Formats: sequence, C-alpha cells, structure tokens
Amino acid sequence: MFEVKNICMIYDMNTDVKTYALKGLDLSLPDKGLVGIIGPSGSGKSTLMYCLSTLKTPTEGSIVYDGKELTAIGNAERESLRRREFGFIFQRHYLVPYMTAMDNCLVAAVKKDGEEQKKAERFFRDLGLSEKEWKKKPAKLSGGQCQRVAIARAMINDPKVIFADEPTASLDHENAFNVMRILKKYSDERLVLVVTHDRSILQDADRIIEMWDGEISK
Amino acid sequence: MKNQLSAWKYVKNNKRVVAVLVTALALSFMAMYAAYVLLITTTESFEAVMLEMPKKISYASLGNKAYGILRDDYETYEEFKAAYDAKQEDLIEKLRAYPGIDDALYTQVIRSTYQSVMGSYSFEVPLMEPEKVPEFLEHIDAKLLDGRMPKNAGEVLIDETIRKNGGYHIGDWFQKDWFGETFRIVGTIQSKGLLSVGVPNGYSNNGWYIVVYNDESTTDLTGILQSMGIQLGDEDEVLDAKEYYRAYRKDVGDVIDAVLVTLFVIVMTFLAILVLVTYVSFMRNRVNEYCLYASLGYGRGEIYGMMLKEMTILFGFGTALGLLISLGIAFVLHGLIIEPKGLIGHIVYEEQIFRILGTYVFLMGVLQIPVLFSLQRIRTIDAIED
Repeated sequence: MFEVKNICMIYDMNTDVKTYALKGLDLSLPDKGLVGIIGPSGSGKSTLMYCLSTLKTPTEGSIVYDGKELTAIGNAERESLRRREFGFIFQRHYLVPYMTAMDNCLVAAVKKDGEEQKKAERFFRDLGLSEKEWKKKPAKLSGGQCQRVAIARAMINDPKVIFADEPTASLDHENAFNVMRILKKYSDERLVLVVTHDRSILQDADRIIEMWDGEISK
Repeated sequence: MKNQLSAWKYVKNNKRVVAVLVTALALSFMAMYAAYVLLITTTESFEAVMLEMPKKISYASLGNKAYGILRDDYETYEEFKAAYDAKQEDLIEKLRAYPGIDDALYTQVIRSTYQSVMGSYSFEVPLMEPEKVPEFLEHIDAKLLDGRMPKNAGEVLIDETIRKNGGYHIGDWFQKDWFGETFRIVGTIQSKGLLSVGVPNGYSNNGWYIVVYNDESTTDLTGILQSMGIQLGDEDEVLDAKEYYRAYRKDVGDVIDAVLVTLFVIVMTFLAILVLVTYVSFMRNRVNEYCLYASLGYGRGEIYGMMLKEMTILFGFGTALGLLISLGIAFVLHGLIIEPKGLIGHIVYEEQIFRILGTYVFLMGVLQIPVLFSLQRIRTIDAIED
C-alpha cells in the first residue's frame, strides 16, 4: 500500500545547522495488518506517520500510496485522501468540546445519512460506550471514553488506513489494551499504523518498525 | 448526501457566547431604532408646522422704508401714519389681486407652542373678526371637529394636534402670559399645517402682520413683494415657505440629522468593537477545532463556509430579535408619548431598518478580516503536536 523511498525531513532548512527528523528512509507497508512504529521521543516516528498521512510533506524522497505519488499531489487531493481513505487517532483525542460524542464521531463522516448514524452507534457499542454516553460532551467523559470516541471517529468512513499516534498515551493499562484490541480487529481488513514508545501495547502487532534518530534501526 | 460542517452545532451548544453576541446586536439595533423614532418624531412633527403651514399662509411685517416712506419727509406723525397706511392698503389690494392668492389681511397674531420630544417651536396664530373665520378655515382646508366657531372677543379654535400636545380641553385658557388668561378655547379643528385661529381680545397680541392666504404656487412671498416694488430691509420680517424652511433646516433638520449621525456612529463603534473582540476571542478558542477539521480532510473553503454560516446565523438572530424589540419599543413609545402628545410619528421606519441592516452587513464584512486572518493560521494537528 505504501512504498517509501529515501525520504528525508529536514527542519530549520534555512539555518546553518540542519535538523534531520527523517534521514533517507525506505519502507514498504502492506494493505492490511497492525504495524507498530516504536522509538524514543525525537526518533522521527511521528514525523514518518505525518508524512505518510499527508499532514506533512517530506523535504526529499518519494511516498507512493496506492500507486499515487503523495509528494506531488495538490492540497485538494491530500484533503480528499485524509477525508475518504485515512482515519486519524491523535495522541490527545481532539474532540470538539461543544459537540456530543455522537456528533464528534459523525463530524468526520463523508456522507450524511442514517447509515452513518447507525454505523457510529455500532462502533460505540463495540467500543463499550453506552447510549447515555453517546449524548455526553467530552468534558463529561473519561479519558478512555474520549479516546474510544476518537477511534470511532477514525473508523466512521471505513478508511483504508488508520494512523494512530500514541493512541494509548492518556489511558490506563486496561483501557490501553482495549483500544489496541479494537485496532487489532480493524487491522484484519485494513492497515493500522500505530506510533508509540510503549512496546507492551504492540504485542499483537504484525510488524514492528523501530526508529532511532530519524532512521529505521530494525 | 455529502456531510458538511454544521454551523448550527456551535450555535446550539454555545448558548452563552451566542446570547452575548445576539443580545449585543439586538440591543444596538433597538438603541439605534428607538433613538431614531424619538428624534425623527421631532422632525416630522415640526415639519407639519414649518413645511406644511407656509403652503397655505404667509406673514409679512413691513417697516416704512419697505414702502419707500421716510419719517423726515412728513411734518407730523399723523401724516406719516396716513401715508404708511395708504401704502399698506395698496399693497394688500395688490396681493389680493395676485394670481394664486385668495386673500390678504392686516391683523394681529398670537403665538402657539408645539412641544416635541426634543425642543419646542412657537408659531403664529392669526386673529380676525368672527365673520372672517369660516373663510380662513375654508382656505386652510380645516374642518371643525368639536365645539363651536368663535363669536366673541378672545375666543380661539385650535388644531386638534395642538390641543393634544398642550393637554388642552375645550373651555380651557389657551394662553397664559404676561397679560394673564387671555384666550379661551371654544373648539378644535383639523388642518394639515396645525393651524389655529382666534378673535382679538383687544389688548393681547404678539404683533401685527399682513396675513396672506397663498397656495402652493405663491409660497414665495418675499419674491412676490419684491416684484411689487417692496424693498425689504433688516427691519422687515417675511415669514414665507423659504424662511420657514431655512428655520426648519437650521433649528430642526440639521440639528436632528447631526444628533442621529453622532448617535449612530457612537453605537456602531461600540458595537463593532464588542463584536470584533468577542469574535476574535471565540475564534482563538476554536483554533484546535479548526485544525482538527483541516486534519480530517476538510478544506479551508469548507471551514470558512462554516464560519460564514455561523456568523450569518448570529447576525440573523440578532437582527430579527433587534427588529422585534425595536418595533415593540416603537409601539410603546407611540402609545405612551407620541400619540397622546399629539406628535407626528410612525412605528415602522423602513429607511432606518434598512440603514441598520446595511450597517450590520458592513460589520459582517469587517469581521471577514479576523476570520480570514485566523483561517490563514489554521494548520493540521501535527503542527500543534510539534
């Protein structure tokens, strides 16, 4: 699904001392499966994920997704990919504070019909959120519940790829494993990319990519 | 159906912020409208006297020089007075013969006062013999509403609007001045120019004038007098349409216009600052939300569309509520002040409603600056996480 060749991400391009977040990285990712990207802070794991998801554009190199060169496409096409084919779970849940859990899930939906609502309800049930909680705003939900809403939001369009950046960072152990169980199930059909520095949550991963100082170390 | 960012969700779920903006817009609308109603009532009320009255009646008080008569040319005062009276009588005859002038007579006047919301205006009420009154009423297209025609010295017919304005009733004294209680109201009439008429009481007057019964083609009494060889000087007084209009602009129109413009600018400036500050702070609080939308794949155009819809809803609510309150206030003002005081005013002033709407549209235009500025600052969530 992804063919990454020699991508570099350089920060502070205009200064004498350049900072390399990614250093000539090559990578190939399948159509489905749970792939973990692990590494310490500053190793470039999040930058890699953001480059793959079109949120960032690498300074050099090529990223081909589904036969499409992501570094060459325009903003509209990037937005369309993020809207239709990618799902996002961020480190912090980034739920809209004034919307209910249900509205937060549906805000990402591409289509607006009863089907999307039913799908969201199904996700919420699978994720262990009660009907009462669907109508609650993020401030009234626990961290784990918020993250589950964010997962449902990421899955609402049945995306081909889910990008999860430290999805368990704000969760207790039990909730963290629940979240990973859901992502693992989703990865049976689609690709789930999880960025984390916590190796224990990746015990069911199909592949683990270890990063160090902007390079793949293993 | 394609899912779009909804503007209603913010409006529905942020009642406090929305209420502040909607209330500010509604109250500003009301302030501008209520002030306009009160001030324009003054203008419209005085227009009836100062612009309508001269279409029917003009006044002239001329000194001897206007007739080309000098006191030094006569040995005695009696000779001088006889010459003056002859010239004046001659002029009156000429005026009566002038096309478009129904009559002219030399008579006393008293003054009637019309009190509006802002200030009052004093104007002439001609006094004449009772048998002349019907002819006068016919000329000014007035009809007797209540009471009877004056038949004795010191009796007056007053306009119904002036009666309401002064709080008079039939049988009341019309004037209480240095001379005491001088004229008694015996009836009310209805006329366009709020005209009144009375019978002299023999001792009270506010001057003698040539009263000219003109029509709309002969409102320029100054011009007519000059065409008859009268040389008007500083000591002469001609109260015709031009003079009333000049006084109207100077004492009413220009003053009210200036007050209205000043008030409008002050209210709008405060409103613009309030809305701008509130809007900027509310957009700042929503940066993460906008970044989330961008990350999820919504384009800037779609985010801007949502912002614009939210703004339109807020301004729509504010305007609708403001219009409703304004018309309610105007209705109350009309019932409590304008109508009982015999003032002339309306509840609906379309021109002011459109002026306020136009200003709100302009304000929405100004708000596009911070909106577009914050739109430029929208990044995707990776930038926040960095």
